[in-house]
Amino acid sequence: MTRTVVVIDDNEPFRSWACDLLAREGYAVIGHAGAGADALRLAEALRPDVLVLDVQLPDMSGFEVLRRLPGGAGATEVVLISARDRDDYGSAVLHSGARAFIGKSELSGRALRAVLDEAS
Amino acid sequence: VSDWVEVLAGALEELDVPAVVVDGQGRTRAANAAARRAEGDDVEALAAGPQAASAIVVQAGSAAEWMHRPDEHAESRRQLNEAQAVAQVGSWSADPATGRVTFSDEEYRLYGLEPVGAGPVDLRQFLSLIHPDDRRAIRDAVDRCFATGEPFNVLHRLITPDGATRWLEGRGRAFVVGGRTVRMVGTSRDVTEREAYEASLRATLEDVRASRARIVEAADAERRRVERDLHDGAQQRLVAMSMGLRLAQALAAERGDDELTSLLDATADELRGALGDLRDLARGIHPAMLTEEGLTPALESLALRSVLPAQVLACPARRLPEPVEVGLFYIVSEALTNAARHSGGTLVTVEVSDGDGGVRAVVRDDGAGGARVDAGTGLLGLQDRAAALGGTLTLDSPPGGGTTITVEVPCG
Repeated sequence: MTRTVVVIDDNEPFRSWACDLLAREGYAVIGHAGAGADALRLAEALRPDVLVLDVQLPDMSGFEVLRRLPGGAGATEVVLISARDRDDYGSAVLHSGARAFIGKSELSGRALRAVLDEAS
Repeated sequence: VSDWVEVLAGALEELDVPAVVVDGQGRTRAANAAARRAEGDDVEALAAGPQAASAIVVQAGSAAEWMHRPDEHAESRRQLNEAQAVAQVGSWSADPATGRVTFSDEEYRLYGLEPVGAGPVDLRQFLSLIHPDDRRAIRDAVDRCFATGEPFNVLHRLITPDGATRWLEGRGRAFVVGGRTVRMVGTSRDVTEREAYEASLRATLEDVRASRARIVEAADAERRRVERDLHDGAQQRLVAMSMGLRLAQALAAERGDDELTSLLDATADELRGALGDLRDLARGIHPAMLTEEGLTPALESLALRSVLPAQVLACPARRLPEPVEVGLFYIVSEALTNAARHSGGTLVTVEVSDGDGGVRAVVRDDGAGGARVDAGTGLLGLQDRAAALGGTLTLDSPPGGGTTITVEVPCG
């Protein structure tokens, strides 16, 4: 079954190429946006299987988005992405409720599948 | 009054100086062995006498008084006044029975009273000259001295009749006889210049402290800005490029162009390397995590990267003022690096706790100990960091006993 994805990242070239790549690699990209508030809105409205969420957003951090998601992430699996390393965030990723963390330069359909399948 | 004389007579018995007591009826008797030795039974002569070298005469109805030959008395008084004028030290003497205070000439001058050498000063008048804010301290000290005989030393201000403020160091003590305070004496020293100097030193020191804190904060802010610029600028562009490249790789693979695929793979590897370098650089400049999520994850991140296994045992969940978070982060970071380089231990722990009015961070390793602040290990810089926050850094590093660095900084 094709997984639905929403991509949240304020770096537009990155976001657009990431959507393109994920679509090419078998995901249904049903939404994308560049801010935490949009992430909350889209997660609620579209109920995607996967929310690819940048940690550093202009209005709030990805951790804050996770804290504000109604009923946690629900059926949506949140994958945090960042230009920084996972270790740079200490235990914050672990405590965030996110399913996984992928470095932005490593993000691909294959990488996403690997962490999702591993996590579930 | 006769009780008084008896109490004094008892005390006088112990003295080597001849002492006589004159009672209410004018009868005179020797008060101690010295008096009896000096004049036999003829104590009248001693009491009356300019011919006597010196003696103590206690007369009913008056305070104890040192009697000297009049010429000696005048000369020693003159010398005392000269010495006091030179030293800018005045003296006073108080009779608790009457509440009367006698000032030396210099004491009159210090208090700006005219004419110098006028009669006894009323205790209330004396207190009225003292700065209102300092009266209580003086009263308390004098009362305690009177009640317990405990000497006092009180720094206080006085307002001279011409409205000027002077700082005086007032010392005093009590003479207690038979459990009763019979006389209090004291000195006053003009320390106005010293106080002004110390106040200006204190102000300068405060300025230097504030300026040091500002310099450190400005440097931290600059590092934060540079890291942010790197992250938002070059890093984001390169990250986007890597995503574009990955897309190009996918396209090349779809088209079966092996040559292009291999070129793109090599380029992607280079880019990954460049991004890694940039991340290390940015991390070294400023830990973004600290600004975004606070001290706990930032310290955990340090522990994860530490060469020597490290554990964060505790850290306050609340956000601390930014200069405190940044300062503690750098201190812990450097302490972990030091432990990895020099301790030879197997584990280093970090414990940050919120206390009364301050935060305490303890970094402890189980290594060889023997670390010193002046040994060029960067500990001096850490001490400066702590001092810039108005705090302290202490080092406990007995040979063979591991090293413990404790930082305490005030924090509202």
